[in-house]
Amino acid sequence: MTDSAHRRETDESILYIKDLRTCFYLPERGRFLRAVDGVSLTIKPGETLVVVGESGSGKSVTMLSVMGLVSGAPGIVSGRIWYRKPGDPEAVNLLEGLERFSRVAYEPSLSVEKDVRGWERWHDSGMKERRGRDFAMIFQNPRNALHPFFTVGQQVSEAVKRRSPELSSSEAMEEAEAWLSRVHLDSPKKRLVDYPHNLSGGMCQRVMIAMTLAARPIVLIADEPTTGLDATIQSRVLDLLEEMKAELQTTTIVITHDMGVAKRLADRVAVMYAGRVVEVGRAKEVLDRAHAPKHPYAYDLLGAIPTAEDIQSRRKLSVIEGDVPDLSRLGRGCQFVSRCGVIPPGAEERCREKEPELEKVSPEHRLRCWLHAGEEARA
Amino acid sequence: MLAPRRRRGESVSANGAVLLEVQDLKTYFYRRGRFGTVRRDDYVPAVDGVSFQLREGETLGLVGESGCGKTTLGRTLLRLAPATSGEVRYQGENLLELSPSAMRQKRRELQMIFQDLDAALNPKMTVGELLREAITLKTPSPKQDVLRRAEELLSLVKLKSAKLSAYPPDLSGGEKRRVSIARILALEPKLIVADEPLSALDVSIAAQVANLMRDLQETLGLTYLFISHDLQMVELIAHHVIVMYLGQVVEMAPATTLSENACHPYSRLLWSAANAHTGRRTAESSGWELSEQERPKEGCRFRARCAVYRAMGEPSVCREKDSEPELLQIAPQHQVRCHFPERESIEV
Repeated sequence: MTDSAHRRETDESILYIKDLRTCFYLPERGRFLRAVDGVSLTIKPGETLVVVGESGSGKSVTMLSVMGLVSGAPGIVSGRIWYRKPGDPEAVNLLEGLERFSRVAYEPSLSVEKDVRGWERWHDSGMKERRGRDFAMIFQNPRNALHPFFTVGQQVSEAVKRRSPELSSSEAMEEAEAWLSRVHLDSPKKRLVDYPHNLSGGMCQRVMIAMTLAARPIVLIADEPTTGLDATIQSRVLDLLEEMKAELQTTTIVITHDMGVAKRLADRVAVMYAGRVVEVGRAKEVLDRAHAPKHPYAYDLLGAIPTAEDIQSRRKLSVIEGDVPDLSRLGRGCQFVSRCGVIPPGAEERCREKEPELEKVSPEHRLRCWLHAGEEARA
Repeated sequence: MLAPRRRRGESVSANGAVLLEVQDLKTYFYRRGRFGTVRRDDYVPAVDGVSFQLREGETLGLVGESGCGKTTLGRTLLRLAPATSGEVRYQGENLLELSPSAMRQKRRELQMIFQDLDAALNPKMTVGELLREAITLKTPSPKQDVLRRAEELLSLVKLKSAKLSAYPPDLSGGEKRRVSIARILALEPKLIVADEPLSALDVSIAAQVANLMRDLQETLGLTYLFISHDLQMVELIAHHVIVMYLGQVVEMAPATTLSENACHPYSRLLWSAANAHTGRRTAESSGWELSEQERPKEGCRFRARCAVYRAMGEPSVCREKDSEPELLQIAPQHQVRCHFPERESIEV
C-alpha cells in the first residue's frame, strides 16, 4: 500500500486493522489453527460496525486481539492495528514491535516462532493503559465475566475509578449506583451489595454493560451481547446499547450471529468466514439478500433465516450444505469453495487454487469472491 | 427396513387421531426445610394446570421465556420430572399411573431430544457404538443387521457412514445433533419431545436440522413437541403453538393465527420483541424480568408487566384474589387467558 493510501485510512478511521493473523498451536495435531487469517477492517469514529459469522469464523478472536486479550499460544503472529484517538494527530500501531517477537513462515506450511511471554509483557505495558479507558468490552458470558467474590458495587465502582481516579470510594460507589439505575436495574442501592450469583443472567448482562459504560470508553466492543437472553430481554438490551451510543457517541463494534441484531444496530456490517472477512459494506447493502453483488456465503447465510414469506408458505429453508472448514487444514483457494453453489463451469480450478482478494465493488462495499473480482475496474 | 408408519395413500395432516392428551397437569417443586423436610406451603409452580391435545403427525410448538416451565412440562410428560397432579393420556392410557417398568417400555415410543449436545452423547463411545446401543435395545439382532441398520439411520439423518467410527468430540455441533436424532429414531418413536434442538447450532446448521426434522416428520409420521424460544423457527415448524408464562398456558392457537393475531399481551410482547429488529423499539412499560418476590400472588400473573392492565387504569378484575383469568375460547382453536383479550390498539 502506498503511503498516501495508508495515511488516508488511518486519518479517516479510529481503528484500522491490517492483515491481522492470530493462530493457536494444536499439539495433538501438530498443526496451527488459523483462527484469524489476514483480517483487514476499518472502523470509523462514531459508527457501529457489526461483525457477523458462524461460530469458528474468527469474529471473537479478532476483537480479543484488538483488546490484547488473546490467551493461548502463539496468539497474534502478524499484522498491524492502527488506533487514532480522537484529537490525536497520529495513529499508533497497537502491535508495534511484534516483528521482534514473532517470525512467521508460510512455506511449505505455516510455522511460527514467537516469544509469547516476552510479547505479552511488552504488549501489556501499552494495552494496560487503554483497556477499560479507551477500549472496553462486553463479554459473551456475563456470569463468567463478573468476579464471583466481589459485590456488584465493588466491581462497577472499580470501573468508575479507572476512568476518574480522583474520586473517593464513596463517590465512586454513588456513581456506580447511578449507572446501575441507568441500565434499568431495579433498586440499584440494594443491588450494590449483591454478588453476581444473586442475579439472573439478564441482570448480570446489565451490570456488565453498566461497568463498560462507566468507563466511558472510546471504542466499545460487545461480544454476542444478547445471546442466551430471553427475547423480551434481548430487545431491551439492544434498546440500551442504542440509547448509550446516542448519548456517549461511542464507536461500537458488535459481534453477533443474529442477523436481527445486525439489522437493528449496524451502520456497517462485516461478514466473516473461516478467519477472513468475505464481505464488508453498509448495512443495507450487506444484509439485503437481493442486493447484488453479494458474496455467495453471505447470500446463503441470509437465506437460512426464516422470513415472513417462508413462514407463510411453510416452505423449507434454503441451507448451506456441508460444514465450516477445519481451520487447521485450510486449503489454498477460496475457503468457501466446498460449499459454494455458484461456481461457474470451468472456474473451479481457479476457485480451488487461488484465494480471491477482498476487492472493492463500490466505494463502500468490498467482496472476497472471484465472481466479482475486478468489478469496479470494469464499471 | 424403516417403513413409514403411515399406511399408503394416507396423508399426514394435522387431523390425525389424538395421540397425547394432557389434563390439568401440575408440577410443583417444593422447597425443603432445614432437615430436608418438604415444606408443603413453599413451592415453585413450574407447571401449573396445563391442558392440551396433540394429534398424530402434528407439531406443537411451546414458547415462553426461560423459567416459564416449558422444559419442565416436556420432562413431566415423559415422567422425567415428577408430576404433582393431572393426567397425561397417551393413546388413551394415563402415563402417570403406569408402573416404572411399564413406563420404561412406553418410553421407546416417547423420546426426547435434549438441549445439551455434549451431555446427550457419551464421549467415550463411537457413533457406531452409540447407535448399536439404541438398535439392540429395540430388537436384539446379529452384528451384521445392527451395522446395516446403523448405516440406514445415518443416511436417514443425512450423515455419511464413515462417521460410524468417529467419537462425539470430533463431530461438529450439527453432526452431534444428527447423531442424537438417529439414536432416537432407532427406537422408532411416535412422539418426540425436542427441547431447544436448534439453540446451540449456528444459523446455517440450524436451518439444516430444521429441514431434517420436517422431512422426518413427513416420511415417518412423527409427532413433535417442539420447545424453543426462537419464535420464527417455531412458526415455521409448528402447526399449533402454546405460549407459556409462569407455568400457565396463556395463549394457544394455530401457528399462523398467533403470528398475525396474538391476543394475550404477553404473546404480543414476545412477538414485538422478536420483530424489534425491524426498527420498532419495545415500549418502556414492558419491563425487564421480574424477581420472584415481584410476581403477583393472586389475580392475573402477568399483571406486573402488562401494558393493557396499565392502560386500562389497573382494573380490579386483574388484581382480585379469586379472579385469575381462565383460558377462554375466543375463536375456533384459539384460547387466551386474559380478561381483556381484544385490546389490540394498546401498544405492548
